Amino acid sequence: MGMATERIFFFSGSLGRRLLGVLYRPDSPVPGGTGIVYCHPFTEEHNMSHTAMVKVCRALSGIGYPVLRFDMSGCGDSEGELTEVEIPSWMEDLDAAVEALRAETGARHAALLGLRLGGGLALLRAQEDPAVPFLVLWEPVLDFALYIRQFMRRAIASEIVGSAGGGTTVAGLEKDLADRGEVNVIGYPITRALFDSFLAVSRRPVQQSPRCPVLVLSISQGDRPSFALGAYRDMLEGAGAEVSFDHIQAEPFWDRYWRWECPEAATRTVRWAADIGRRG
Amino acid sequence: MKLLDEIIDVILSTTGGDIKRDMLIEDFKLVGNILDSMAVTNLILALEDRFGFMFSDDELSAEAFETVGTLAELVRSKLQ
Repeated sequence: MGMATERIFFFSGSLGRRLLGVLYRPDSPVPGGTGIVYCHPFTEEHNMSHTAMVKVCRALSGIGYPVLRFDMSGCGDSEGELTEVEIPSWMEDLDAAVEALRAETGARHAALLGLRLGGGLALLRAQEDPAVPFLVLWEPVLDFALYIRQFMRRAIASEIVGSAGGGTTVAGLEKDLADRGEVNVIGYPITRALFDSFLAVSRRPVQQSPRCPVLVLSISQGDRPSFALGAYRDMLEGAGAEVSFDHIQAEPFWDRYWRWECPEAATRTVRWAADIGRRG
Repeated sequence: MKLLDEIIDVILSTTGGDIKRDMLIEDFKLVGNILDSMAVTNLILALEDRFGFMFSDDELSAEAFETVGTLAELVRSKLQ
């Protein structure tokens, strides 16, 4: 594996916010001028997956891809608050990240690696940009409306664990959102604008097949993909997409504070990306 | 496969650590023992995916998730 350098820098994202970027620059880049932008998950999943995905970014850089890992607006070390952003903000941030990767490395093309919500955002960008050379999607969120409602359920789960009989329901939280404009879910302020932007996207990630090669990794402790991911695989194969789909039976590290890596998924991704890189 | 075995499969697939199948008898305590709030959320999703139903919010209570047995009763009621 080649040596890479790592550089932290800031670049301008949506509404001119300063976004933190970490650039992993390989010593010997793959031919073809392709780099990779990593799109991170939402809230706790972002926090818990950090270490694992840093390792993946380094591993991809090790086989010759310049990789940009960045924090979207209102997340991590980037400017802004969660109360100020919506899905379109993050799509603009992703556009800015692609440009930052090009400016910093001279890469002509930006492939996308996305984990969970980041995978859904990557799919949306690939729909808009036919120049995306490939996609790597780890347990991607394919239905944004369902996802944000499932996230809201965490408030219910907190009550269950606390044995509190608060009677919180997602419908009640949605009413609170309509009445007050914001609700708190496990410590995260979810605004009506952010919530509505998830609903507005809904199932758009799956409404078009990617035009580029795509690696989809289903990651769970079960012995099969979720119904939704299995259906997505069937849709892609039926549409004749160039898709590689694997189910990896492993703990979902983005939900586990005791899991710092997913070596099976990392190895599969690096091998697949290396094959793509050899095609030139 | 018996329903209880399937439910235990799902519990095992959503919890980490050192939980073994033979520990999960009907009286085994879930909430306040092996399930934190994130695990409860994941368990809800996994049960819905496995059995093809959706829980209504008012079905999700501390009592239902108290033990393996109470959870199995909830799932049985959804499948009837």
